[in-house]
Amino acid sequence: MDIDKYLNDVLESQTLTDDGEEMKALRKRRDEVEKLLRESFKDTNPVIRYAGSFSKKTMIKESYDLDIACYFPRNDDDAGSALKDIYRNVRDALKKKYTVDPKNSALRLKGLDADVHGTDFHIDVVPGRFTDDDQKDVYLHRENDDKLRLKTNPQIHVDHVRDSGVRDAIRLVKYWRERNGIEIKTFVLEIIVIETLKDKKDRKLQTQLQHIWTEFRDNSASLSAKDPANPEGNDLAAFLSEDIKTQLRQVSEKTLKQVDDGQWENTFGKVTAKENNTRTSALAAAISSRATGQPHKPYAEF
Amino acid sequence: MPRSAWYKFPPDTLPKLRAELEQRYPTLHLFERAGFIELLGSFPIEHGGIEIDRFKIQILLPPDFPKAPPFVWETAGRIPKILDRHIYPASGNCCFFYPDEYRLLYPDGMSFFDFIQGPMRDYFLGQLAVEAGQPWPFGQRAHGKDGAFEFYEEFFGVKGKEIVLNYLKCLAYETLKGHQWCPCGSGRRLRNCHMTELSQLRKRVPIDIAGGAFKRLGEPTASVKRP
Repeated sequence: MDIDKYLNDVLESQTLTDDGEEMKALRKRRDEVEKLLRESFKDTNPVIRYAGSFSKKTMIKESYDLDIACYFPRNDDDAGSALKDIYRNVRDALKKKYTVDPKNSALRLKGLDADVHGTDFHIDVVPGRFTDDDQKDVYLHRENDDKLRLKTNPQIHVDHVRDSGVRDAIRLVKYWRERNGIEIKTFVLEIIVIETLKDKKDRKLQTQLQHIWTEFRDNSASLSAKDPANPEGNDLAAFLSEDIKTQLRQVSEKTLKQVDDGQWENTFGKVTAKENNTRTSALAAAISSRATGQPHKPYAEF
Repeated sequence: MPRSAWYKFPPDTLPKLRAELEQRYPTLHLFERAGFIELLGSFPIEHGGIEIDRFKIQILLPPDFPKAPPFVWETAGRIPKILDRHIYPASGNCCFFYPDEYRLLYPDGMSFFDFIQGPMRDYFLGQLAVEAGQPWPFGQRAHGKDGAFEFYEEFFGVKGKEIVLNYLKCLAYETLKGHQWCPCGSGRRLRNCHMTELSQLRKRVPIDIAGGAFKRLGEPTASVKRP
């Protein structure tokens, strides 16, 4: 098996194409959100743009979210005088059309109407305010933290990842994280992968991945991450709890055993064209074979 | 800290579970956290060698597992957290069956692998069908009390909420007495009616379950208590 070819096939299978259904739906939803926000904050002029993995070009099909930044000018109070007010006013504006799940700095959009109630639209809106007129650094509200605001520079984050030279490795490690349920935040994982591979950018993907897993297995206790946008100001230690380090260590140990035995497909799965017809007929067959037994009926209490 | 004796005795319980997981579900990982056993990762839905899909999940094995069933959460936010998708909105965990069902159908509990290959797989197969715009393939229980009555109607082989309540009340007592009125509502004495069936049920339904269900589901009407 040509491992790098296999890994590239995995990457391709995880790519959201421009003309694919997922991207079309995301773009349509993005336009709706922008329109709603502009209508809600007519007297101000928020900067609304793509952020997160879409801008960094590290999206994967397995788990994709579109981050939409909505940043207000420094001296504009129309959306709220305090950062907390901006966050809540944006949330209330979005609630007109969506179910909004507040995250720490972002607002997760889900369906509101009966036919899509609770359906995850894979969109996070991130409200914030520029720290100055240069409109580079922003303050983000922290809903669940003692430290109520976070100073950051989204463009530095985007550049840091997009120009890292290891985007393929980042995407594969994100996919590995998803398949194995590791609870590490994406931006922390990205920073760690970039730091770990800083001297190995020209290596094969296979080597890069094995190096990352070896680091996770052997040196998880000393793992740390510095925010490239605010290296001294933002402490990321809280994102690398002992539980997360344990998960990284244990899963990496298993993964290394698998790949040492040549079982890369146990790690990333078989790359097959997931054609809808095949999937639909396999689902029908699975249901019909189970129906002859004593399947359980789902329930829910009020 | 809750005791988790089930995985401490025999001492190789956990290593065995880990080894089998590694073989059968390499993307599910077991962790010990504050006395609980937690599994994180993704669960593949396969048939005939084809992976149909997979769900990202978290499983918590309670201290009294396998007597009590595992708690399972779908962690990717793929399934809307609403009753109609059989998720408890408050806690967000999946609801595989009416809770008494587990204790009555599996009095000794289920092994971990029987559970994930049985009720858990059934549930996710159902979610896939619903995502595809189909009805729940194996049916679904109504929410709340109505679903509980449905289960007990099937389990007792009777029809009607009042009859279910009478059965539960009857089974909440230690002994069945032949001279009492039959809970089926026939107007006959138990000895002349469903004594055999009730005696069989008496062996399968612990008093605490019958009494608890009776309390939750409400009092029977006077007319059914006595024909």
